[in-house]
Amino acid sequence: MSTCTGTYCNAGWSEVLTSMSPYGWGSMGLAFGLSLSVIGAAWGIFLTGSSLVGAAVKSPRIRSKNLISVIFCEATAIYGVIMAIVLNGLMKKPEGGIEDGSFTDEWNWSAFYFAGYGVFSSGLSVGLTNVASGVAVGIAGSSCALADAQDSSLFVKILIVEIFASALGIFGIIVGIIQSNSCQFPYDVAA
Amino acid sequence: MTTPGSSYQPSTGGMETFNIAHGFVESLVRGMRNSFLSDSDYHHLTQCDNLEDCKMNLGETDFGPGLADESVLTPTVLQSAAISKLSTEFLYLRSQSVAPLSTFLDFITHEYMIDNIMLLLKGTMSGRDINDLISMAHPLGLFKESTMRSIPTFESNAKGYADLYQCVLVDTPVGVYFSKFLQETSQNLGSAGEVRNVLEELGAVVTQFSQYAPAWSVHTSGASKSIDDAFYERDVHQLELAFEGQMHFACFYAYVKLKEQEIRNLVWISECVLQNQKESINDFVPIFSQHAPWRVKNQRR
Repeated sequence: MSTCTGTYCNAGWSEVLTSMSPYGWGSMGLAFGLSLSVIGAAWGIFLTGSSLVGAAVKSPRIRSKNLISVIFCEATAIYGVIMAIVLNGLMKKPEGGIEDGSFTDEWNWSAFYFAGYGVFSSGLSVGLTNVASGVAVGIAGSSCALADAQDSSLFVKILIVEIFASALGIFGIIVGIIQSNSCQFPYDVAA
Repeated sequence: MTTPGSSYQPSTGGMETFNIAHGFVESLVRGMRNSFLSDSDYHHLTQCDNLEDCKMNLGETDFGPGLADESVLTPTVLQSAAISKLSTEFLYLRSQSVAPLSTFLDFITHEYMIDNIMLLLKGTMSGRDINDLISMAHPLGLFKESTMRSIPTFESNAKGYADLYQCVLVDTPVGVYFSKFLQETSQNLGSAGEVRNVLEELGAVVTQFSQYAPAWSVHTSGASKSIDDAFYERDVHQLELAFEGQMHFACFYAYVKLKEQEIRNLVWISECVLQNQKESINDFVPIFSQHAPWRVKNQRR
């Protein structure tokens, strides 16, 4: 492999990664955290909703009670929104440390990169767990509606299964918050 | 329905995607599953002294609205009311479904279409009126009026049947099934009796297969049940199992077949009430019964 000597050549992955703005990483983390959570919630809602409306044709009594399954799915999206707000609070526009449009040498680069990768990863933690949680709640909710239509004593039993599926998403948001706690973006040279 | 030439078949989907296209229809059929007559409904029906009592008892079940307009209840009226109810439900499911489920539901109707063709052919051979035959046809297997009227106009020989296939049946969904059959068996249409005779001869062989052995032992023990009943019972057991799992198509087929069994039960009970045959009135196969042999066995375990 020949050594690249041109102006536009990079010196391997370390240069590629350090050339990407930590603000970009942080914003992508926020975007993935929210969008994947919403995908999980939407997936769960159509799984539950289609079974719920069908089962309610012959047993209308289940329709209000089983909205709780839809609410469980919706909670998954709310986790994503909460996390997006938390992560957004960590990112601030720099107030100092910039001269002629670029960062000065006093800029806290290590904190800057730490925050960028941390926020990206915590967004991903929340997003991916919420996809899994949303699908799991959706499948359990769909079965819950069908079971309730046959025998109303099954509703509470399957609801417990749903609560456990919903807890998967809470694991994600807890870890995501802990992960992002120490990821404050520097906004001034002194900070 | 997909065109015969197209090889594209959308996936039915797994647990995560089945509900996108079929979730609503599946839960509809599961809602209808609730409408099967319960053990207590059957108990009340078998206690009836006349058909007026039967009608009153059925009034509280799902069959009530369909029978309300009938002034006099006979087994035939009951049967046609129940079949038309099944047909309405099935057509509702069909109208709500999309491919590949819609194709699957169409396949279920093919059996009735074949039955109707055989009914028309056999009926005209024995010289019955075409209008009577059309009114007897199963509503799930109907063709266009003109198609049904043209079926009996062909001659009853090999050439006639070949013409029948070429001119009429080839355009119907069940045409493919007839292409070979009609030419080969132009002389002996409908040999259900023969099948039964062959069965008798093969009884000893059947016992070698563990899944059919119980049905045969019912036959040989000489109990009040016939081998038909034993097979119906086995059918009901298998079809009930289709409702144990979610996100598949088997429950649609099982629903239609179990409803057929329920209609057979109703006809049997009403005939027994009409002829005052109280001793054999319980020889039917109840559906989702708590006293079914396979459930009782599991409870004991």
